Amino acid sequence: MSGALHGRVVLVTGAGRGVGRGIVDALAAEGASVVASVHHEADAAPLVAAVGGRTVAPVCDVTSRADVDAAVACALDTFGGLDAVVHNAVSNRSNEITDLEAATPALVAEHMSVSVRALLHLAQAAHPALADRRGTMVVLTSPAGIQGTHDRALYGMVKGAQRGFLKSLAREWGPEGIRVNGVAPLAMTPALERAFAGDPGMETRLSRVVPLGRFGDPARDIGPAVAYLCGDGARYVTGQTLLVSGGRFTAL
Amino acid sequence: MTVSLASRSAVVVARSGGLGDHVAAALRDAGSRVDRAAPPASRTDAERALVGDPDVVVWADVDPDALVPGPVVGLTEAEWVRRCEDPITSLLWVVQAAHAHLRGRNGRLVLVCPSVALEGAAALVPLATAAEAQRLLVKSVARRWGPDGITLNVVSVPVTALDPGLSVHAPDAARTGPSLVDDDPIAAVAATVVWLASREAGGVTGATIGADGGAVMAP
Repeated sequence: MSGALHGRVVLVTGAGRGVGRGIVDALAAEGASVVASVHHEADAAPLVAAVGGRTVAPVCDVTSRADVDAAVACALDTFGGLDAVVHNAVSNRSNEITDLEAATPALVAEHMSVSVRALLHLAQAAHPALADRRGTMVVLTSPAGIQGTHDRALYGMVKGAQRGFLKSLAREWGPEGIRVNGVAPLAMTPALERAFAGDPGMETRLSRVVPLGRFGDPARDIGPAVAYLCGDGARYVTGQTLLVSGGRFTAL
Repeated sequence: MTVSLASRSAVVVARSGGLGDHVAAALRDAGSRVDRAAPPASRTDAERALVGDPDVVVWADVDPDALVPGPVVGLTEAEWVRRCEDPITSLLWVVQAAHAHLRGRNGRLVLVCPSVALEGAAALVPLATAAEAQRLLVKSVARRWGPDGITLNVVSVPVTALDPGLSVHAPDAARTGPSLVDDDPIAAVAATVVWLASREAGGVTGATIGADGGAVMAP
């Protein structure tokens, strides 16, 4: 690794597991100080022990404005500033196949709060710090937010919302030197691993439709794309969604 | 070719006095029966709004508050909910309630939303966030309901069609002007909705058609 993020402070939401954990690994490998916010307290100590370096892991429910304020304060108090915010957290039910016609208001609210309301919380809480350092925001959206998805329409809906948000905020914050981008990954997640374990042929079948022949690894494939968007190499990139899908999705 | 919606029954979901009035009039002119409904606050409200058993449902509503420009950092949470989240969930209730009416009879659902959301808009973040959520809901449901013979599409319109005074206040509202000169852009929007509601458009689903005079031309 190049140490391209040495001296940078990055807040990552939903950092305890899956893609979020891979993003933390990639950012730390590039020398960043990472505020790896976790939803489950049990994930905090193992994460800090494994990643080491300049990493802290506060508990944060992104649907709570107070928790988000505290996570930003943690970055300022621990590392003296904040250069980037990465919103990766999603509802624990995001991978569920949804019977849209029967989706309850409670389920809809769960999707909306973690993926959409949290964007407002993060933007408002982090803006002063990001403006101080001409920082950046990265939103983990999804190919489902570009192409739609027949069996997880609520997920496609909130991921589409995130794209509308990031494109607009990029325009709003551009004059302050703050960049806002998205990453739409096709990644191996814990939920997918469980599904593959239950159906040994599933991974081979699904991988056939990926030109690179595999699902993205959170630390080696997805995290580096986030690290790139957080770094100086992307200093003229804003309002974009980077598809990191092994070529599975090519239509914008 | 004149599109006929004779024997069609439509519901236009929109508050009165806006774009919905023009869309409703165009649907009537094409021969459809048309009922009106305000954006519902719940699934129950949505089912009540569709009690006339429509085979065409059009959403053409924008909350006037969402057209008030302002920075994200200045929004209260209540303003965010009203301008961004409420329109998303309201459309969702309509979609849920519409399925039973639209399936098996070449049903149509058309969403009208501001084209500026395709590119993003400074000072209109809640509006653009809501519009993109609505658009992706329609795309996803288009994939889902295709086997039921239902089409769902999006007509993206100039944001100035929703509020002619907006370009003065929001820097991104009309940053790219239309390529076409049209004396009546609202009528052009309504005509596109009528076509998508027709049987002639039966092969089109999940599409976003720009009826903004070529302003955005998004892929």
